[in-house]
Amino acid sequence: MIEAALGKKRPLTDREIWIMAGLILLLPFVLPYKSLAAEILIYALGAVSFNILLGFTGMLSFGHGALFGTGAYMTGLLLIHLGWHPLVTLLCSCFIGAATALVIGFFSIRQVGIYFVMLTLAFNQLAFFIVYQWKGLTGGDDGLLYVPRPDLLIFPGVEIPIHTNLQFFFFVWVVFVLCIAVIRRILDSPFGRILMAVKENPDRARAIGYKIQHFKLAAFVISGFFTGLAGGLYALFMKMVPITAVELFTSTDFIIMSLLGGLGSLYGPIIGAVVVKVASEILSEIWARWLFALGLTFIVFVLFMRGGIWGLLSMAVEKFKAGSGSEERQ
Amino acid sequence: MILRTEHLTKHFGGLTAVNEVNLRVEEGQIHSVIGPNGAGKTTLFNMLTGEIPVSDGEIYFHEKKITGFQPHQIARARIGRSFQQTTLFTNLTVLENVRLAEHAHYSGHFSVMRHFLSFTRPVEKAWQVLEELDITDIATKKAGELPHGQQRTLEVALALAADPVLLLLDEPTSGMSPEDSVKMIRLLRKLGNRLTMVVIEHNMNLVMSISAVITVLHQGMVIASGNPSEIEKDEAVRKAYLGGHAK
Amino acid sequence: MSTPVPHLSIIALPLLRGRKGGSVPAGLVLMQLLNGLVVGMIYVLVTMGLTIVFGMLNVINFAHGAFCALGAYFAFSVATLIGSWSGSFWVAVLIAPLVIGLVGAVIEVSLLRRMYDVVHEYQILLTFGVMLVIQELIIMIWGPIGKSVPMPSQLVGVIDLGVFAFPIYRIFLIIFIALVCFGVWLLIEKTSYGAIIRAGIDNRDMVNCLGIDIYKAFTIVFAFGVSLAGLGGVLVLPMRGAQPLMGDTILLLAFVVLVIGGMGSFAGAILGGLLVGVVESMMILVWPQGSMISIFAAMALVILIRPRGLLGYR
Repeated sequence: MIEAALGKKRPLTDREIWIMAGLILLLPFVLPYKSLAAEILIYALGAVSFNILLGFTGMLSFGHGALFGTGAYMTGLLLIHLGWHPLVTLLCSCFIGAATALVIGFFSIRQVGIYFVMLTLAFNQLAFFIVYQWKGLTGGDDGLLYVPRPDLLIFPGVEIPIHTNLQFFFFVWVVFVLCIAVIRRILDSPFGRILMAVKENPDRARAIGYKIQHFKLAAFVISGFFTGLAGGLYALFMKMVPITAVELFTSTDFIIMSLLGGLGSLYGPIIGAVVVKVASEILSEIWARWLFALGLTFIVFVLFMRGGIWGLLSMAVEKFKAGSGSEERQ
Repeated sequence: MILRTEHLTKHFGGLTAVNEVNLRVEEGQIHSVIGPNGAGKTTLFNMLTGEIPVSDGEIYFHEKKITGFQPHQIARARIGRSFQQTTLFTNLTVLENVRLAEHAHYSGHFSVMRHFLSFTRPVEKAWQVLEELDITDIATKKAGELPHGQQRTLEVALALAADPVLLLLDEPTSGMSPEDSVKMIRLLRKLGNRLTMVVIEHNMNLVMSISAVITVLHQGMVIASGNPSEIEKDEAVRKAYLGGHAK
Repeated sequence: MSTPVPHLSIIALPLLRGRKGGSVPAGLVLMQLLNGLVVGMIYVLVTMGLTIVFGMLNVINFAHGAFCALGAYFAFSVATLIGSWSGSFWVAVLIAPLVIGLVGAVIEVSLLRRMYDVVHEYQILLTFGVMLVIQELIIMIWGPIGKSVPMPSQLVGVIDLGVFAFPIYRIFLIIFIALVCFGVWLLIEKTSYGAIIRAGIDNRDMVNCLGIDIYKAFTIVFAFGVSLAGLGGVLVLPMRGAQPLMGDTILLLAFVVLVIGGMGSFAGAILGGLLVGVVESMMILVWPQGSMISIFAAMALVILIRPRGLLGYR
């Protein structure tokens, strides 16, 4: 009876993950530019990690540019100056992202609403400032140039090239699917449920015994871990790190993708990333002012459809199931 | 004495909401706190459970000072609380609500990993709570979709998740229909057999029939304290309440 | 937002070009102080609108800066329409805020009204979307390149203050905005409308119960707050011209002022605005790239140590 009430627990990878992975695999073949596919996945990863904070824990962070950017610079610098294995540099990006999130979170977590926003924004400005000033290290305004993209050494003698757009896409795809599976596991766990409770009713969560500051900080750090990874992948993707990686706009990009795709759902921001990136690449050729339409859509979604595109799809699927169910009964 | 407050006071700017309240709650009792609106009852509770800071005075639980404890520390000390305004996790089901509450108490302080594993033991305990409150039939309904009476019952269930020895209930029957109120009174009596309860209420039937001790607050101060028949006859209490209660 | 130096502060830089190396002369310091006052007054004006809206409606308006930009562009159109800028400047100063206020009223009624009891996060998201739309609209109507107008003829030239010469327009700005602030203060403290606003800040439901249509009051307050931003844009136009994204930095800094001064506090907007303006201008003298970051650092400090701001009470 209890099990029936709870529903089954999901393993790390199951049919759902493979379907998503399969759909994503189609990307480079349906888009006009193969490189766009990898870029979408990178931003999607960033948006999904951002959504852990906004959609699941209710924290609107304007500081994710800092996390993304430090991850990017970390991988870029390690590749340029130390020539480390890309996977190692990516791991370092994860940790610098988590560490930066720890610092930002430590100061910001106690605040809510606009204060939290402004504080995270201030930290983003700080990161931008440091990158801008420390020209010798980061290249400042010009960006960090000539980031190599070496082949991946898997076993001695076995090297996997990630040189072409398609090869690089497959590499990102593997990393992406793995990350999504792990994030899904985290959100499915009691931890994820507690985050949702904190989002919905922090006072009550506190009253039933949760130290919500700890959970918020943990969510921040986890978000930082994956955002840093996305940044590292970005450095490999661009073979450079532009200063825009650490700018406010990156934060707002994630916000838009998460909302359009669907707050509070794991896969929503992925859809959001696809939509926004495709619109910005393709739509912008047709109509330079496509942001206008995006802004209007954004407003409509905030007012009426916070579940985003994913929410709409879910509702459609529900209606479809209900409809076909009643047909069967007849 | 399981719960004792000494000169407990709360100022909000120029307003004194709670004034030198000395509460005495014996173990195993059902102790009611009544008083006209604005008497400071909920503010008193909020201080007891750490929702707001104390301006002056001390709170002792099992003779240990708990003044200034944070809400989660209060919960861990096995004091459960329900709220006057229903504050549930509306998007989670009834079972998920209680499970979440159970999980908070579940194991040790530093066992971080338990958050990433499963919910199994808390689920069993949560189910027991639902059974005790006789709401297992709505276990899979979303809390936001429940009728008011069942939501109030879920409120009490969340308070029970702390496996409390002391239960603080703020107007458990608020807004309930007469039938639901009767069920709640029966439930409170059942709970009163195994725990100590402090109940804020306006429902005089409830108060008179289940309380061992009644404390009356008026404008932040205790104006009377005693058993139901003493309170019934108290002049100060009658004056404070313009309307009487059913005799 | 791509530069570390705030949008308005660059008004000071050209005046520094003649500077030789070495220590900063006293005259320069005094002039920058005055510049700081000018910039600060703009912030005061813009933030005042923000703080009134937050104080009464408890709404965070991320589109506030975009209304500034809209005001500037609208004034530009008035100038182009009427012809000679000098007369049209005064017309613009009068009309632009009204038009912006109207736009604000429309937005409030159609969109914002549904957001009053929703958490700040969603208000920020909504008004962020509005900001995007307004900015794109500006580009669609007026094009992506910035616009500029000549200084109104009555206010051209500099006044000799002994130690240095200072543009008359900027002196006018200080005085004009001070008068506007005084007017707003009168309105809020001395009139019955103001009393309603003050009561609404304290207790929205109570005002409703008194039979006053609180929702109409909200619309008017929002329109008023937004028109102040528009006025700010008009006043900036002769100094700095208008660019589609000019609202971005102004928005950021307005929020910084809001936090430092105290959200919902009228006096806080004044104190905070002047403080930020002066700090910004003084930093330009000493360390230009550090100006933005020092302002944000100051704000961060305020949030961490005294969250309700210097003069706030929430």
